[in-house]
Amino acid sequence: MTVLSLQRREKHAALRLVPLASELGRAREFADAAAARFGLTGRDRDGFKLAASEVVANAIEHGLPCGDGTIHLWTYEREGRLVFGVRNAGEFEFRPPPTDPLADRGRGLILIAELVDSVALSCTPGHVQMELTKESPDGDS
Amino acid sequence: MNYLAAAVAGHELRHWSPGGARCQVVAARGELDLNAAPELRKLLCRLISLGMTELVLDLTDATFVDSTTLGVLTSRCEALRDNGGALVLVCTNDLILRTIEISGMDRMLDVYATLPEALARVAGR
Repeated sequence: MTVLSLQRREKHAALRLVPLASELGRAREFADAAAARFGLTGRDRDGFKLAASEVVANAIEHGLPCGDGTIHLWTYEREGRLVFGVRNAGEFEFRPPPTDPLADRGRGLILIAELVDSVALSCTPGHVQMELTKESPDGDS
Repeated sequence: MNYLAAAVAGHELRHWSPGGARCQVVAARGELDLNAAPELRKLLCRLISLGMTELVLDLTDATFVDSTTLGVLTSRCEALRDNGGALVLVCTNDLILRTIEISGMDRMLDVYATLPEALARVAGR
């Protein structure tokens, strides 16, 4: 029981980030470390890091800090899936991907959708939470 | 002659003239993300306002590009095209090339593997 508990704890990680663009590198390192622990390599690992960076950049740029002045990041593994989550204060505003190929914004969602297996958005009054999920490359469960 | 445009943690931008009166090479190092995008936007806008019509963005030493950076490039690409110019990239980094491809920007940006190839392209315009 003790061993299981330790393993479980190791596979969960959390980071509180001051919502500044200069902190994005830390968010990527956090996501990349989780991807490495999970066993992602090469393009899958790079893609997970990019998707995580996009969702955190979105929270920094469009969201507000939670009550403690930070945005909350977490990762965990469950049933052969790696999850990366971000929670910020504020209200979600859907901005559809651009139809104009020369539009200068709005490509983040396109990248995220292509690079992870699923995206879950949950909104409660005053808070927005997004979770990205990547399946195990081995199909483990 | 080299000019240091920005050298902060995570990224660095330099620009120089390869010889043409209206051509500049912008060499980027490190991670180009939401943090670096304002510096990149400012530099490219300044070069365009100075009359540069052929810009080569050398991403040989860049390790990461996000959607905000791609947005900066899209806007500047449009501005250059309106003046009969072009923005071309130098890149072999797999993650960056994939980012460009997924975002659909491979349809509007010419990407070359080496700087000489990119310079030959703009010289031949």
